Amino acid sequence: MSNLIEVENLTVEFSGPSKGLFGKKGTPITAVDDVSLYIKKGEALGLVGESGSGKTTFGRALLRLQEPTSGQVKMHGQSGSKVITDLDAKSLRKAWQEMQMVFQDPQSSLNPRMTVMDSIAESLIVNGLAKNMEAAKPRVLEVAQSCGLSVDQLSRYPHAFSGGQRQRISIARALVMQPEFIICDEPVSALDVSIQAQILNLLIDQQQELDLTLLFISHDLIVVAYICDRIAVMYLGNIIEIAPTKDLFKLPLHPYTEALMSAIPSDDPDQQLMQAGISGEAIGNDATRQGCLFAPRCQYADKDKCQNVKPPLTEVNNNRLVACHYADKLTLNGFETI
Amino acid sequence: MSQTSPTPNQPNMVAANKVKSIRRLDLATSRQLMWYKFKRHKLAMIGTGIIFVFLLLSIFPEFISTTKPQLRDPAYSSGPPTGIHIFDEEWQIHWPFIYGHKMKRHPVTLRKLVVLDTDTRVPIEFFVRGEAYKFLGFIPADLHLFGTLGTQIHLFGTDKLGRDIFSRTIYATRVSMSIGIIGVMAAFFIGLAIGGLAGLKGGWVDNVIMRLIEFIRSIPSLPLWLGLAASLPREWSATTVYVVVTLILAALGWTTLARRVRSKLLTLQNEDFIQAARLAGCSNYRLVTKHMLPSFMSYLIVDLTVAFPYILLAETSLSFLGLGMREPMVSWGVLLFSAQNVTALAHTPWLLIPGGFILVIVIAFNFFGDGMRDAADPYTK
Amino acid sequence: MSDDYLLKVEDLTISLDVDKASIPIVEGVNFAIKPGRVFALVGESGSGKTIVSLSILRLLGKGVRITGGKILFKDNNGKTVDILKLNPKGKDIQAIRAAQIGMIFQEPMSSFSPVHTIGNQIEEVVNLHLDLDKKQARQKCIEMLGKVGIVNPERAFDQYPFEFSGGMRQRAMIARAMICNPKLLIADEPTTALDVTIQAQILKLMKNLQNELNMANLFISHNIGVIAQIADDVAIMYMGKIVEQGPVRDILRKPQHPYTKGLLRAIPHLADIGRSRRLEPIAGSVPNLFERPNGCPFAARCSQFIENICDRGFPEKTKLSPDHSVFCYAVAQDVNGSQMQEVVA
Ligand SMILES: Nc1ncnc2c1ncn2[C@@H]1O[C@H](COP(=O)(O)OP(=O)(O)OP(=O)(O)O)[C@@H](O)[C@H]1O
Ligand SMILES: Nc1ncnc2c1ncn2[C@@H]1O[C@H](COP(=O)(O)OP(=O)(O)OP(=O)(O)O)[C@@H](O)[C@H]1O
Ligand code: SF4
Ligand SMILES: [Mg+2]
Ligand SMILES: [Mg+2]
Repeated sequence: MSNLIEVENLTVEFSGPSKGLFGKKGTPITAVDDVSLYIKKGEALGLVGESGSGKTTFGRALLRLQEPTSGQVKMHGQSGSKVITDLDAKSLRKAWQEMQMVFQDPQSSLNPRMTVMDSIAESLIVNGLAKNMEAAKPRVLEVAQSCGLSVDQLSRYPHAFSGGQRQRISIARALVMQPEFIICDEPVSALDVSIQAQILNLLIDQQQELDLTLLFISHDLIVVAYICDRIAVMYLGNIIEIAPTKDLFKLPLHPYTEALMSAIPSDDPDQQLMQAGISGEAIGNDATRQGCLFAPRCQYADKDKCQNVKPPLTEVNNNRLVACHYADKLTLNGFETI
Repeated sequence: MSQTSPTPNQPNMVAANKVKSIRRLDLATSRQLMWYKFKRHKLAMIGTGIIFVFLLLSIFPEFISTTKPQLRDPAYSSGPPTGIHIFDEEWQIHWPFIYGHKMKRHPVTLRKLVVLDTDTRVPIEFFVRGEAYKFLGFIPADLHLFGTLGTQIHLFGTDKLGRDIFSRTIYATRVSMSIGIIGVMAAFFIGLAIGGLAGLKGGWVDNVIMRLIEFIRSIPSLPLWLGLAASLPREWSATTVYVVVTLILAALGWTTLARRVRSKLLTLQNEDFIQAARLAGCSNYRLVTKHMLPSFMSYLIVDLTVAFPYILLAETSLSFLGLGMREPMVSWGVLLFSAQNVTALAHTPWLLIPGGFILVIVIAFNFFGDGMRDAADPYTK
Repeated sequence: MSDDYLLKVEDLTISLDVDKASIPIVEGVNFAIKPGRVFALVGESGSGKTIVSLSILRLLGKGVRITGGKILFKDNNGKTVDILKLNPKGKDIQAIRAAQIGMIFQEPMSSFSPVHTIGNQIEEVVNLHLDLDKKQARQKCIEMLGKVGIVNPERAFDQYPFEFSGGMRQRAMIARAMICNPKLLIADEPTTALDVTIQAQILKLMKNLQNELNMANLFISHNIGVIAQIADDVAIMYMGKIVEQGPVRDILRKPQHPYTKGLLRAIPHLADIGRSRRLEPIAGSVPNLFERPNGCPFAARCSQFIENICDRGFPEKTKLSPDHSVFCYAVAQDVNGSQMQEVVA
């Protein structure tokens, strides 16, 4: 299968908090740190990581909703290949017809002053696929129905809908132009579990039916595991491990992946997990950091290499990509039963 | 394949019907929500009523007043407000009436005095024919809301020249309110344009504009008005002065608005629904007009209602100091100007009545503004 | 029912004033927390968990009114007080807050005032309830900060909330809630805003402190995994009503109420990864405030819905064991049916 998205050395920096009276710029925060990866056509790639690890920023940078500091994003869509990072404003708007995003917060992702119908139809109209509301209506109804929205409620305003329904609306809006690639930024984090399952099923079904390529961002490892074929683990802006879902769960190769897994509270009261729970918290990433970013919290870290040399994402064992000096020497615990 | 997950069962919903009498807030538009929220504010509703009355006064002053602002009643100069009576000297009840009056001199001080003539009773009549005027500026008319035939009625008394304070106050309401409204509108457009420029362009444009705003705001306002107003040539006509004063006030009032517009634009740009609209392919123009402006318009209106009393008071202060409006243009400030010296106050305290109007409208606008502030964000509880 | 409770909520009903009407948002809630046990409230967003916990401390906001019921609490002197009879601004409830019932609030950001140091804000609680001099009070705070796992407690004492990360702030919250050794700790989603690794740390900490101080705990969460790890007893809430209640193992392994069953099926399980991508959601969504059904609140979404029965008022309690009870017509029919069969046989 060929690649739909190729990311090369993508870096996003934010100017740090300014210091001193005259607003001298502080050291920039590196939110996405030299990330390279690919997403295959029709694949669902998961991106997991803790809060502040740069998942949202990465997703936005792919679409250039956030301008990257450096690096390249390529897309090999049906309309031909293009370098997203080189497009001018007009071509970028055109490219967005093929790549869309579903946002995390259902409260703020819809314009409260537009009816749901108008929100879904907007891209059809501004992109010239429909002259007016009337012409856009059949497609809007079709996509709304396939997303499980009841058609007679479309003339209502967003605040009349529950969180789950709003997420359906957001998905319908993203699908209306029939894009090839969709970024889902924590689409279910704000929802109740009983609703989460509905939305996840909707995404899975739509993906299969429309042969969509997904980048699924979440901090919930299990949810990602359900949806995705491969999982990339992010820590402070770096991809520290990327592997097919089953492989990753069976045998994590990075100590941080292991820690993430062991921290998942089991729903069996007699099964005590959290043994390998790590201590401490992530400290921000900027140019002054040396060595492995995970070293301060890592129970396997040594005093020398880990503190001074940053491990690159390299291939170890059987085609697994991981960024740890000791990846091939450590034996870490996953869930062998999977 | 349909993904619908409709509610599987339809249990009878007795309770749901029971609450049907409750307003379905979830089905309301944002305007309706704002209105519901605004209505909850009793004081704001009162304020709205008062503002409405003042607007009527300034639209139809010719009809409501009894005479023209410059017309003199020499027989009643410096006369006190005419008393309205129902009972006569013999405690007989009548349709409301006023007594006639005569001019006398004080036996000792020889000051002119107005003395009631209890023998003549003049009934008050509604919709009387009186002074001719042009209704709304072009329809010839002579109908007045109320008045008397024969002896003139002076509800608020008269000034030194015998001009009717009531009529003058009503006409002044038009001038003062229109300065407030025009000033606020001008400030609104300047603020929107400059704030929009700063918020959308960013970078050095933003920087320059923000510094300019800080500069303007750091100038003490009273001396600045004084300076500007004092530099107006004396030979300008009253109308020119009116226009220029309005513009001066607007030129100083836009900064708050510009700041608000800028900060709203900056925060909105990071909102998810704006990002989603960008992804949908909206041009910048559409983003601003269709998505951003409507979501902070209500905040701008709040700022405007807060700015209005300031502009009014500024105009009043200027005119009171003799630097703003001048006769024959009458504004509230101009009216108060004549109540400046102590003797005038001691002998003709009714000259202060226009001050009461200012007080009332400023308070009304503050109440109204409070309600608007609450209603501006209809989506929070 | 045994009488060894620390806190007992009886028929608690709370209403919300909307326009001129008043809509019940918590209705007929009954539960008891035993000393030293962790009692968990589970439910969807908006089911009334926070409202119940706030009513125990009489901290409800404007427009939310307690319209019936009792909250019995055995205070430090061994007396039983009905908290609902106390004046919400009076001395008696203040003596109970913090000193006897500690609380960890849902929003980690707004629970500390930004303009005072962490230390000052914890010390404030000490000064209010304990008779210690300044030095002792400070010492006690620093001790407590150390106990909740803050690395340099002396330094942390003089720091401001914004200098703390979310996890640290949550630890400080726990320190403040526990400093007076309360008999009951109310924790409203204490880990929801945290990362999994931090969540694991906080849960571990709470469990240890729990064992060490033998405190009872009202723990609110909607994360089944977290509940499984920390709770002894569980009550499942739906639209302001408790629909099932019992020991944690019974609830998680032998759920009876259709909602509980649906909820447990809807969450993704580790064991199923790679088997099936689809989940089993509960159909429909929670009706909004204006569409409260008359009968069982879950009726509209229920797979075991019985027409003309389930929509006829809230079901009676069905006891499955001394501790495990369910409010459901379908379960009641099953249980009664099998009892009948037993009688026949
Ligand atoms: N506009 C911005 N300006 C400055 N810093 C930013 C900005 N947006 C994000 N950051 C910083 O970049 C880092 C990554 O943020 P990001 O939102 O991408 O994380 P995330 O993984 O999506 O986290 P979460 O799970 O909380 O959504 C954080 O340290 C954040 O503080
Ligand atoms: N101050 C308030 N004003 C109006 N409605 C309120 C208020 N507080 C709570 N409610 C309503 O009461 C209901 C119960 O709210 P509550 O906060 O107890 O839910 P919860 O179970 O804690 O949910 P979550 O999991 O989201 O915290 C909700 O429908 C909510 O909208
Ligand atoms: S490189 Fe070292 S510090 Fe980093 S994860 Fe591997 S062992 Fe731990
Ligand atoms: Mg994010
Ligand atoms: Mg809550």
